[in-house]
Amino acid sequence: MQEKTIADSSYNFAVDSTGSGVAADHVGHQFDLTEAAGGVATNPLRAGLQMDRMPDPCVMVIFGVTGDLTARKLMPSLYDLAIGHPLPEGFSIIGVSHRDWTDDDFRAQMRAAVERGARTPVTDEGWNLFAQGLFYVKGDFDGEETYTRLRERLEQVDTERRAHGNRLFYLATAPRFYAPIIEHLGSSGIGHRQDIYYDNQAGWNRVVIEKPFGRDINTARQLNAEIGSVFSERQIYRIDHYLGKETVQNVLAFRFANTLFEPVWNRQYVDHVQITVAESLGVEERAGYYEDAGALRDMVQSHILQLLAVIAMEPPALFNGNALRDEKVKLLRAVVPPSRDDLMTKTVRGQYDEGFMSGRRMAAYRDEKGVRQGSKTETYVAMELEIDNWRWAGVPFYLRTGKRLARRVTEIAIQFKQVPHLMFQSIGDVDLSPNVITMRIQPDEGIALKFAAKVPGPTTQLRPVRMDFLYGSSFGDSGPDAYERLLLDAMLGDPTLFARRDEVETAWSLMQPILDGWQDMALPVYPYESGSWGPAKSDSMLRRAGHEWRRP
Amino acid sequence: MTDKEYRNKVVVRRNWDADVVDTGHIHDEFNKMWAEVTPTRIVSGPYGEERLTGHNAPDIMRANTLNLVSVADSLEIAGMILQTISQLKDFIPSRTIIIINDPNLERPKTWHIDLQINETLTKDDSHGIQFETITIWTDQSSAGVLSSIVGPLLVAELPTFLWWPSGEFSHNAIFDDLALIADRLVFDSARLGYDAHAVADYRTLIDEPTDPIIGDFTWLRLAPWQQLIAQFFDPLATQKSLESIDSVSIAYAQDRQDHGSGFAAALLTLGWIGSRLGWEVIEPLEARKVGGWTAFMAATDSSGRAHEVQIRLTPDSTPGAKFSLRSVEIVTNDGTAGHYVIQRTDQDDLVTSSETATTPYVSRMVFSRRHSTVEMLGQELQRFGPDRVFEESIRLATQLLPE
Repeated sequence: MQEKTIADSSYNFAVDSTGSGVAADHVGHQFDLTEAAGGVATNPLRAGLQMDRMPDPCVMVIFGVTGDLTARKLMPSLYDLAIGHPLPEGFSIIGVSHRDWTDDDFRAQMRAAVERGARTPVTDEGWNLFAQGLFYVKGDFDGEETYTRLRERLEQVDTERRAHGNRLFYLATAPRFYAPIIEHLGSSGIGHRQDIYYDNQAGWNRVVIEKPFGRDINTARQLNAEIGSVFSERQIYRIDHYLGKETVQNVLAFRFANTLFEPVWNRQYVDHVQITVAESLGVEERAGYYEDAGALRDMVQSHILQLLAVIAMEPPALFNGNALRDEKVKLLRAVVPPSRDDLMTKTVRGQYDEGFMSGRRMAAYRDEKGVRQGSKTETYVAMELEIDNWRWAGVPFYLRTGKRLARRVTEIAIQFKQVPHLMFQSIGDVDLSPNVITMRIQPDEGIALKFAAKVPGPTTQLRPVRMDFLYGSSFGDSGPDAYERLLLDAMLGDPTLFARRDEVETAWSLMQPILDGWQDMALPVYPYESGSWGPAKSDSMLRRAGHEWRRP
Repeated sequence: MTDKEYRNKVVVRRNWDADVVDTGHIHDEFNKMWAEVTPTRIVSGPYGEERLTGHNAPDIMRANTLNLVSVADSLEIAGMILQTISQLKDFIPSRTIIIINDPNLERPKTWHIDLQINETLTKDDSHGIQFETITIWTDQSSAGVLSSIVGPLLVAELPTFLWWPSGEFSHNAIFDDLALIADRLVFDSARLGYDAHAVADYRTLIDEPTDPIIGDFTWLRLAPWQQLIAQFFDPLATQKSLESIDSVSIAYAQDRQDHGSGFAAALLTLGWIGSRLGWEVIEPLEARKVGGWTAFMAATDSSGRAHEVQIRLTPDSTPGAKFSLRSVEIVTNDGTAGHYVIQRTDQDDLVTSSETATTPYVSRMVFSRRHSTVEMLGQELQRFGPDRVFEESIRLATQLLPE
């Protein structure tokens, strides 16, 4: 085999002379780079079926099945998938948790959860068919006997429901359980490494992991190494539900399925970009987690950097797992985090104080249940990043996220430069604000374009107008929940919308200097009123560059 | 039929009688109607915020999706069309043109024109999708006259779908004329008739390069059947036996619940299996004296050996057989016999069973709710390109029809 090797710090990619690719991860395991090609692909009756995204029969094992995520998101999404028909005959779920439940208890609890959360109305008949495939295994995540019982149950379900050994492990637990679960899956032989998993005689194994993927660069690397010691990168699906949202995927369609926008999507025309992920809720019941995380770890490192990547990356050659993620990683590697000297001027930390929202007085973060006295945890972050590449050099990217802000909104705004020459100035009364393309992720998903228009009449009067394209007023029902899409993708072996190891580690490597700097330099955490748009310091950060935050 | 029966409301409506249809006048009326329904907008202007309404609020963007044209030969069908469209959830035509061809019009030789802007109702009573409906009621059956009206009323640059809800279309001049301006035809072959000769009309729809792309509700109904048939042969152990299928027997509803027939569904299923597996027709369908049809096809395995596959289509008139297919049974023989069956037991469930020399008998009930017309039309409206598998299935299916 003639090898061409492209080496970087984490990966060695090799392309053989036939064009098929293999890659080696950081510990030298090789994994296949060709896209998933399950055995079913050779079934001629499968070719071109309208519902061709049907996964292989499989068993999904959910660790932490008694938790909030399973009840609120996973089980309703799985029920919707099952009733909507893309799940295979014999699809089964084994829940694992420490509670003393029987299969019937588990089914009853899950029915209640599905009735609360599913899009599809629950009928007795539909539920009974779905519930036939629900099983429960009681046990501690760190107890060897749990995995003995799980293996027995899996073998039984494989035989009775013909899952062919295909298994999707979903870690819906607290992050501290990730390592022991992975280790036990490996040592018990339930989960095993598959470098080339399309050789599915023994069935495939995949593992889905919820964020946070570590709490800093070191713990992220450690977690990746622990998972990587049992599973190959091709088997690991790191879920960031933002990527499953229709509107995030539509950013890709907007940019790369239209010729209109891409020519102006660069430093020559774009003045700056603002990404806002604002929450109106406070910390609610998550103080325990949030106190140790803060807004930067909770939102910026994952969701916001993902949004940044899809809005700024180069066009991928293909819409598939590696092509898309290669471009995202390339982009993230070009991002320049603020230097230690710039931390004061290019990052702002804030924490919500008392204030009013919808006429109600809201408590300060420090007075919330579970928050440490005198907590310095940030509930608001704003920062300016630069992207050091040909396309974006010199264009500031402003990111902000916060809790208890004036309204819940996630949007990306591309503000364009002013026209080079204002011929209308001689006429006098003009208001030429620059063009802005706004992509709203939630709520009121859509795209808006602001431009100047002449007011009808004998005088030349210009005013900015805004064209709004709302998904809800054009395409009817919103599509499936992000979890539905991502769960189906994981079963199908499509990693496109999941975060790859190098993507996660690159994101952490961008945030780490900021985290370290904040800690070392003890930068202030500015209070802001609940119901406002964040601390005034954040406004002054933009004002220095002649910009201002949008009011979404 | 009242507006209350719809899941939408009429936001604004105009109607009038005329001796000629002035399409320019219809466009003008729609512009006025949209101005009426445009909500007040607050924008920033040179003198601060301005409240703009109606014509002065041009910054609302309607993202148009597609044109839908449909022809009804009775008020009942027209009502069904309007009701179906108003219940669509995913993809709603921006403009629907319904032609009611009624020879018993109260005032002959006049045109009754009805324009509506409708809005879908959402669960929380917030604003839904707004769409236009043009209903033209006439006793003029001249194809040229009707298509000369429909053409100028289409929204430019959008795909045009022709939904033909009644079965018969061959030798129908209006159909032929409208098919020329349509990009895609949506119909239901279950309504073509009860036997092979009636379904022969299907032949007229394929292989003409000028014809629109076809979408068939019957094909959509087959999707769960196809999935379940394919699933039998997903395991590598059973995949090989696809080369040794001995017989395929399909029982279909003689009289469907909606007064159509399951014959076309049975034929398309055969066309699908045969075209996927590279079968060729040896003997086309021949009527059996006891009812139903037989045919013979040739299958060739990977080593080049050919063998005969016996086909049997059997009408089922039992009270339980109200839907397209009643059962599909596939028998394989690659030294040892394999037996694969799917049966519809009621409108929500299919039962599958299989048994081979190496795997024991397994039977399973699968939830498979039948889709409504609204759901099927919604699916069809989201498809723009041709479906190669469907086209190949029709092609082989029509070869099975007797001359």
